[in-house]
Amino acid sequence: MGKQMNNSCYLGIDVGSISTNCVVITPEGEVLCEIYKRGDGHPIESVQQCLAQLTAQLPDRFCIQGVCTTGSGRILAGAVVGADVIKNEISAHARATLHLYPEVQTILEIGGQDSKVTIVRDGAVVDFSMNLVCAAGTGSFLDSQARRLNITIEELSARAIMSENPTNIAGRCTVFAESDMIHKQQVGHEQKDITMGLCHALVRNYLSNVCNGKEIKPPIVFQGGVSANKGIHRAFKEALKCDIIIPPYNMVMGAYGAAIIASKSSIEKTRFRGKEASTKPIITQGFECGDCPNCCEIIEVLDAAEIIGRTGGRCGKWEGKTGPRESLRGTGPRCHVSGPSTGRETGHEMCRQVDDVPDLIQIGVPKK
Amino acid sequence: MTYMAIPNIGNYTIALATAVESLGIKAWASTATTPAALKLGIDAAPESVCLPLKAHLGHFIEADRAGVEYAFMVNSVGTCRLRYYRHMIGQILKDLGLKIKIFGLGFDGFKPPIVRHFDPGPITFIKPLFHTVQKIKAIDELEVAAWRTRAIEITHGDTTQAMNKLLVELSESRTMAQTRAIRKKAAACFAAIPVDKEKKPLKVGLVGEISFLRDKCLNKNIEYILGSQGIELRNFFLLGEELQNITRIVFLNQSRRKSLSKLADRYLQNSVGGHALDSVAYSIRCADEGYDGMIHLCPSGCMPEVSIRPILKRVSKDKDIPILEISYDEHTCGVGIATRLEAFADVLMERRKKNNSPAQRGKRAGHG
Amino acid sequence: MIMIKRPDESAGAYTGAGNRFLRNISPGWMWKSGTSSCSSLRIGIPRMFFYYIYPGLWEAFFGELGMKPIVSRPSTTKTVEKASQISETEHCLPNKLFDAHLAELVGKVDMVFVPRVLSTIKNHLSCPKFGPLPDAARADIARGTEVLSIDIDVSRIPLSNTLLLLGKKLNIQKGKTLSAINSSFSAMESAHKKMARPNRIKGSPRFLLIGHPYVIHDNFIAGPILNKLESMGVEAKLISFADNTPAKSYILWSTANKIYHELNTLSGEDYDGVIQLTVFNCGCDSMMIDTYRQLMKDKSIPYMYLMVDEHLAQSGIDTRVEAFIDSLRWRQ
Repeated sequence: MGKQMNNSCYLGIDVGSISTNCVVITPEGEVLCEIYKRGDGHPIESVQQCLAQLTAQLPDRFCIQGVCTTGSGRILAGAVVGADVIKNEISAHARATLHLYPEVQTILEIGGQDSKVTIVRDGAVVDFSMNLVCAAGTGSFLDSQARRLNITIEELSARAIMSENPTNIAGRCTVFAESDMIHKQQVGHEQKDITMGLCHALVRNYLSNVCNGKEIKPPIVFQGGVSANKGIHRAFKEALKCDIIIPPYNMVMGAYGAAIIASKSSIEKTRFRGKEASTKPIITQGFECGDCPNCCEIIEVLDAAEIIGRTGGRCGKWEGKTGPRESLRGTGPRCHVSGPSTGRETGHEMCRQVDDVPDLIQIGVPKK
Repeated sequence: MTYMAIPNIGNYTIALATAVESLGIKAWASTATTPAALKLGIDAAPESVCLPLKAHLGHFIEADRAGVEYAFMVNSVGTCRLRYYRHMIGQILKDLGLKIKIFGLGFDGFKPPIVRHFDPGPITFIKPLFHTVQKIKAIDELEVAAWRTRAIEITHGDTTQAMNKLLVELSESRTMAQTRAIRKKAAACFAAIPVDKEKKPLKVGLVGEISFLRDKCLNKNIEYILGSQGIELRNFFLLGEELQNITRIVFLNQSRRKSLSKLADRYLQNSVGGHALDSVAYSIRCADEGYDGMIHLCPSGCMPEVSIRPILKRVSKDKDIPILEISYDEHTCGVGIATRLEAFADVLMERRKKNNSPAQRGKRAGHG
Repeated sequence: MIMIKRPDESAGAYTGAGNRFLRNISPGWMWKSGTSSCSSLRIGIPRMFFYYIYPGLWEAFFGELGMKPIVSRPSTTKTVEKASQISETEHCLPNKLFDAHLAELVGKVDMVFVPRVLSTIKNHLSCPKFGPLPDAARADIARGTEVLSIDIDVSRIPLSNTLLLLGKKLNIQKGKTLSAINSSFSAMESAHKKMARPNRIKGSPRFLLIGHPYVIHDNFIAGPILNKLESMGVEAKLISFADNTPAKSYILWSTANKIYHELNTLSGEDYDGVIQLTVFNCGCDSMMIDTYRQLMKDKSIPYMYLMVDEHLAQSGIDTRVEAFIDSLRWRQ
């Protein structure tokens, strides 16, 4: 028993829009291994590559007792690896930060596509806010500007902190900022000043869009992919006029939080599919249900020929079911429902599932 | 058969469709904007107008493509943009060269033009209207029952399935007797759903702009997401109640709005426009009735609803009730909304745990 | 001496009085003395919205009543910076600026004046954002400071009667209020004349600048554009809202109605072009711009609209204005 306890560990996976991260912790919360991987729009492959790396790094004696997935691709990733818990990233991030800094009052988090602020009081999340549509307060803003300046994001970070006289760059959104930045370039501002100006612009946008009306109190922890950028760290310090803590594992806090959630959720027997989840080729295939005029698109997650999970559908009869397709056909409600099934282009595969209009009843369909 | 496209107001569209029959024609509608229609509307409308207009516009364009000849759009009195919807939609449809003819409710002499155009006999005219009122009442009952049951159902989706079945029956009901039978049956249908009676679900009130309270496509199916997380809802737009309100204004010269004004008087002394007063008044009422939280929905840039946000924030602080503000625009993604709602549910759960702890309870009693 | 009863913070800063009109004046405050006692009272007027809708009126009115009106400074980039920090993200730019102007006054004055402008023309309505303006001020920015408010609803009560009521609430003799109303009305008239900008350059191109009064007269929003036009030797006439007679149309927003009417009666000989100034997130304009554009197209008068947001850089304005004016010159 004791031996097993010593070797048990928990896995957290954060599938974000830009990166896929894994963290393995001991039941006490000590990090055994962490992986940060920039993805390229193939969440399943990224998760598998992460798992493969993880198996290589993690000594054999450790045995994963529970898995939690988080991030925007959490449901799909959960189906692929066999997650015990699926948790939203706001809670996961807060959990990780509270574990490391129980006294924290504000958590700033900037990722590739999302940015959030979480307000914590007395060790409990009391309020949070997330960016709406605008990418001006997210990492993609810096990415696109760095590309425009023809430097890498690391160079941007390094140059920004050398600036003594940052340029003031206006910009509500990427497009406005870009035109103003070009203007400033042409007027003859130095590149290091422009890069720092960009950092200030991002922080200003973040503070006025995401943190609007929120009470930002120290201690403040800054995490997420963008927290590696020293220019942004400096800009935050100057804007908020106080010290900003950057935690260890700042890039993988979501996964760390997920791992903690897994370790705390008293899992008796994990549904984790183990190493095989990383080695076997996993494919997804979509098909139209066709049981009713809704014509939902169902995504099947296949491991070789075996179906390990399904997502999609409005009536819920496919959700998580693994049996052969025919056995599930015809179950569930048959209503005379109709409506197109195309989800909008959202960038996330899983968006379709909630974006669709469930049970839409169409009245009176005339012939042309 | 002549068809008339009517705007969708969620499930109440079923009842409105019956009202259209009083004109001797058939209705063409769906209980939610289809994503395809929304896309059509977004493409056709000016960029900065509000999202409900785009949804209605897309719906009418879709109707025209389906061969529908007439459309109906509600008129509103008041200060908000809704007042000009019919005019603007009509203008855009004309500019697009579509043949669909749009009617309003406005009076022109003694009869509204819509009645003059179709000129139904007085007997055919009255009966469907009574039937409509009955259907509205039936849908009110279904909605109220579904909020409660969905939060405590044991298998997710049961309530939604039962609800859909009943709604389909309701949409097919042709006589008052049938509708009455469905109303009787509904209670039994919901009672048959296996529920966890011990569960004390979180209670959340939903306020805001009406199309977002009602249209599943626009609000990204928020009622279902909340319900499946075990949250009991109270959606503060019930058409039956609105109708009663209108009747009271017309016949008794007393309105529910007066009681709302009284409720909100400390915070807001004007009805503003749209449903802004309702949002504030109901938030106060919910706080007093011990709800766990409020969710305020509105399209991005909504004139009345955005302008009362500082007041809602004050209510939230004074009455110690968390209010989640969600504003939607055409790029809003379902996953983003789901993440926020999940995190909000986590916050509410933590608050409840904290408030139920003996120390806190003592403190509250002292305050009270 | 004024006897001021401070509101009890813990009991909530605004317990409404029973009377419908009485409650619009800041509750909890009482003037127990005679007319001349308001002399030392500093009243803050934010330089936004109603300040431009009724130009010159408020300073003159409160000044005549013996109070000390303090108007916030014209908007600058600093105001905008402040606004983006304190104001609601989704507010329109003028509303954000209003919050910043209000914040500037708070602490420097004894009370701030925020009327609820519900209608300015008979049977017409204002923008819905004006409805909760005093309440929002009390709830957020001006919390702790007294907010003096009155409903301006010209559809129901003429403006002079509203002012009379305001004087009554301030406990000022009717005669004194009446004379204040008279002089403040004439002050407004002359302010309206001044705002319309007299002809300066003979023979130069003439443009009509349309938009909400608080947009086209705001220093931050319209200032750079007016300067640019001036530096290009172009004469810009700002639309005047002095005339309060409504024009019959389907548009019931008073400003939009006025602009629509103005454009409807406009002839190509009067002006070389029309420039519409609008702000980001303005709901009224979002519905109306297409109508205006169509109207101008039918009359073949050149039309341009400029949308200003808190980040619009001077370079962007310069490019657009120059291009528009050049295109007109080439056409001639």
